[in-house]
Amino acid sequence: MYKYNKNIKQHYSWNKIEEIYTLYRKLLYLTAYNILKDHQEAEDAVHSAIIKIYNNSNKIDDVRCKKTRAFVVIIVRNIAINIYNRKKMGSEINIELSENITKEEHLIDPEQHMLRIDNAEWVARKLAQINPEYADIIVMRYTYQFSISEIACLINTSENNIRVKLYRARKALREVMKDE
Amino acid sequence: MSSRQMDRKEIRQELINAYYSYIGEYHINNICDEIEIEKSDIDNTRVPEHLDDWFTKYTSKVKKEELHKNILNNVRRVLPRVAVITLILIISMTLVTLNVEAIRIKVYNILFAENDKYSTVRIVEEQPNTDITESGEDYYLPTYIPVGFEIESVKELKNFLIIVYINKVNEQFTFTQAPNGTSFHLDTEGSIKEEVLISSNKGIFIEKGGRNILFWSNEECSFYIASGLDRDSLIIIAESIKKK
Repeated sequence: MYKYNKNIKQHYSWNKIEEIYTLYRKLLYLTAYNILKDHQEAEDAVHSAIIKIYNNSNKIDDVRCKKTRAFVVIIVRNIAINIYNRKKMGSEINIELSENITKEEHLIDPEQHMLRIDNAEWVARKLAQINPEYADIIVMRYTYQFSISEIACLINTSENNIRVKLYRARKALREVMKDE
Repeated sequence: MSSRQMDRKEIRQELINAYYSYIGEYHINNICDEIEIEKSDIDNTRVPEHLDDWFTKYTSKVKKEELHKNILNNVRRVLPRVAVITLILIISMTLVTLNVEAIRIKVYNILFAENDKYSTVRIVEEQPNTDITESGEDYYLPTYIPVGFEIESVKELKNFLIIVYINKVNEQFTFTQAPNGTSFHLDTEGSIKEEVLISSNKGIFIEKGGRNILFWSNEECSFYIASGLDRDSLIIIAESIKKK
């Protein structure tokens, strides 16, 4: 899905966003509503998600594939969570950077942890159970290969928040793998 | 850190990134499985009309923007070619216009362009050239020849006549005539130049190192006398020319 396709670029992006909206409008709305429990706010989250998806539609190759379906859910879910957090806290939560993020500290060490391909499904599920945002951020960064700034723009938050979430996601992942 | 250690670190990083990506793939599958489980809920969800209205407005705005952007891109791509073609057309039209004789104005002028080593004298026709002088065999010839001089040679090259006169002591003068428009290159380096009138036509007298040149023109032809004879003699010869 996220393979750059020159031919796709030549088509109008609004064709794609129309198809996405027609296919996933109910899914988008329900996902946002389940988090926000407010129709107006759910609508706002969907507006925002549609705009973000449209802005990245050049990266979408197949509208109906699993990756696109998951992508729209991840975007709307994280936007809705951010709206919810802002409402709850009165302003955007600025995750403290006192956690001393170092690049290597919470990386999985392949020499200490067995990188088992057969249990990846279980690890993914476990990670999503701890916090779906962690799993989402891992997907956006490593599977869809968005940069930190692109992710921040996609889900309406700051780059710092993304860095911290990514750090926490990797830390959680390491814990999951320890418990395995 | 040695390059080997660096390589090892990079490889380890790539391995971990690949593993994260692999976990991500399963997370995508898990999301899709959850969507399948909630399919009936999703199908029964009623999307507010506001949302559809907003989307209709949004897409129409987006369509306009994309079309506008597309037109701009096309214009940007085509514009340099159009500019080049227009420039070629303008240059071609200018050249054609300048070459149409009908629009040239009839004024005969002596243009005297000075260079370091020589001067170029040319009679320029700037007018509809409907009456081009065809000298043919009707040449102008001096009716006054200083005593003792006789024709030594005559060279005739289509509308261009050179007559060399010589006397017994080997003094000579050359009378040259050519249709107006012909360029004459006169050696004027370190010379004295003087404007003169020959039968009410403008002329130039040039004196350089004992050699004198007289150049003038009438409405048909340009003339040139080069000799060791003095200025007054040359003017008398010049004023005596008649068509024969």
